[in-house]
Amino acid sequence: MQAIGAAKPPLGVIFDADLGNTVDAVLALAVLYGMDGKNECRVVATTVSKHCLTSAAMAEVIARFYAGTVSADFGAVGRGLPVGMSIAGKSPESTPLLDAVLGRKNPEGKPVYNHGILQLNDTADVHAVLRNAYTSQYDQNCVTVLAGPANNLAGVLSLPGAKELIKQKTRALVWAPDRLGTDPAAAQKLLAEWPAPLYIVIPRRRARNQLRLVGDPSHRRRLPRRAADALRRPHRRRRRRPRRRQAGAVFHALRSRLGHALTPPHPRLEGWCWAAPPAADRPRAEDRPA
Amino acid sequence: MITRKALPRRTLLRGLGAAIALPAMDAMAPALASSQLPGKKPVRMAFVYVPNGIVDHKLWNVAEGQLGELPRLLKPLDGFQGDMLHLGNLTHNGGRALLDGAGDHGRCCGGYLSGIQPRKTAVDIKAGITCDQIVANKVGSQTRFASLEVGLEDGRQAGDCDSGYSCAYTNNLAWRSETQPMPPILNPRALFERLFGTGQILSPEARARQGKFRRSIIDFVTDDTRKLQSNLGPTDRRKLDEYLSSIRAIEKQLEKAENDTAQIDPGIERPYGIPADFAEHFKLMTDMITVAFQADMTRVVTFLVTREGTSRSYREIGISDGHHPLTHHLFNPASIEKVAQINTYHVKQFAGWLEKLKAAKEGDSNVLDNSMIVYGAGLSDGNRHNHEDLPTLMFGKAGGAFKTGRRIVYRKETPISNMYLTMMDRMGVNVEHFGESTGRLDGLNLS
Repeated sequence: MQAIGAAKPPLGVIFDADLGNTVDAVLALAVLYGMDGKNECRVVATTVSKHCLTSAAMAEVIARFYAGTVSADFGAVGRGLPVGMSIAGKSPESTPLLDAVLGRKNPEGKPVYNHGILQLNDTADVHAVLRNAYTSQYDQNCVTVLAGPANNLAGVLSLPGAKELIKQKTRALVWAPDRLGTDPAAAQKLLAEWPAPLYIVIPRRRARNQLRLVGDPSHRRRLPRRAADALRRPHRRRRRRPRRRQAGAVFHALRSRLGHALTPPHPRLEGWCWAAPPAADRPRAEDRPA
Repeated sequence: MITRKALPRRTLLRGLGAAIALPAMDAMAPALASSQLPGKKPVRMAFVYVPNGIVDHKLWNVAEGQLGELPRLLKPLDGFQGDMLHLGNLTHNGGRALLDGAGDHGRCCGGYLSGIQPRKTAVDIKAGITCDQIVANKVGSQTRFASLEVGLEDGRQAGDCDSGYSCAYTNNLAWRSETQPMPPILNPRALFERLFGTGQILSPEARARQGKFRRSIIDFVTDDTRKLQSNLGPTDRRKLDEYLSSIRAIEKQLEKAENDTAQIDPGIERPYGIPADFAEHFKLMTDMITVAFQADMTRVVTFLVTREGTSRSYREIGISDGHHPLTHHLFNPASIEKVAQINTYHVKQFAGWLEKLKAAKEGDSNVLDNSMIVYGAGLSDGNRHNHEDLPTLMFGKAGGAFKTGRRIVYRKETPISNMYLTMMDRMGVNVEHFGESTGRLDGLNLS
């Protein structure tokens, strides 16, 4: 329980992803829990942005794997994190990645990785989870890491008072926009209405031509449509190695002390992570390309 | 040609200093109107709040779906499965610390019906307007009383009652505005006179002197009653007799309660007219609420059984320890057993009230069918002080809208404000958002 007068705890991280499509988001969440164990951050909420029980189960498996180092959520001690899950749209099928983990059995034929998500009401109302997580943070002491479509966060923005709350509590949103085309309307809304600094983590070679500036809300006024259009372009199919955008987002959120020397956050991420420079160094609005 | 005129719904039996409202009667329906017109019966809402959470969810929860055998804490409600909605996973986030430190009792009660977190202060209190008052503001003009606030335990309205939270938070359930709580009526005599008469509350001595000359309130309206009876059919005459008899029964209980003062230990100041026995006090108050519902004197009731965080003992069932200290049982089986007994005792009193609501006929249905009676707590487990999966039961079909007899488990973190929104809809008050709502509760309605 956080008490008045106590020192601020480590940065809270709210993690929202479409877990199960690629290994990136899984690795990112693992990195977060690893940092949580070293008291470098606290994972205060985990949500999945697709209507898929196995995806939510994967989030819980990862949390349980790191049990003992997971932060208590919402200031209450001694219980697990409820995994929020989007129920918008049609439920996508499980993926080979999820099946490989959740279907793994020990010699006795029992699952190697246990979880408690078997039906819909084992998951949590995603908007309530996100909003409640923000309410329990000290001012400017959390970041949101979004690895996937923006539908969950766009939904939270529609709740009354949510924008003020987010502005008060969060330092930034760090977004690794994989599969953005699944919900362009939500992406538009997020880009247009997110009330705090927003950093998009994307390979530099794409960012150079597509996104010049995504930072303070006042700088994004004329950007949403262009940004969303650009990001909706299909990804290249050919991948020789796992992409590290989500992992980059996590490193970026936690290691770079947002607002200071943002680029690059880590030498190994050079070329993979792109973000807006601190407010003082940003180009003025009139300097932006037409 | 049909010339019969319907008896006005607002007919009162009047007498010297007294006025008695009437229950719904067949004579009040227009000629040729069906007694089963849907949506015509008034729908009522009531919140019955019990303090300190419950002792163990294993003794409270049942399997999802159709309700069958009830667990131990709910045993007294056997027979009411068909009227019950057993709701799971409803959460009050505003009851959590959210950086405000200790004070779960103050927070959970102060914000229970508003779905917000009250300000941590003992001076400049600030909570939120509660859903019952929003409904009362909207439909209150149709009844004599916009709402009734009732309770069984006296408490301060100022000062610090829980780790810096004002007593106003722990001792009130309804809030008219952010800064104005609605203190519950504790004295049965005060409630009775509010409902049925205008006499002032006298001192015990004065009332004892007056008692020698006391007459029933029904005596004052005899002339009106006789006139009305001559215009009623046999069914309505019987209904009127039953109704007046129930008022007389309450009067007798009150007289008995007032005579109870002899049983109190000397030196202990006790408010005048409050029964020594908890069960009798509970019964008296709920009898009057039943009559108020029957006569459509109000449609909104909040009932704070005892104040949140109370350390009241229950000697009547052999428990001399305080309720709150017992809830922090350190997993001592004896303490857990005592809390379970207190929880069951509360449920038993509540079941007695449900029986009366069910027995109060209203056309082809009954008052319970046309109500939404919520029995719940702002704390989930009294030992852990958690605020998710709050113990929440809802009784009544809301005028035929709800499909009862089921256990519904919602998704985790579902705000309890979603339930309030759904109830407000049924009361004819459409609000887009309330408290920390994220939508409405699904799965309650018949369709």
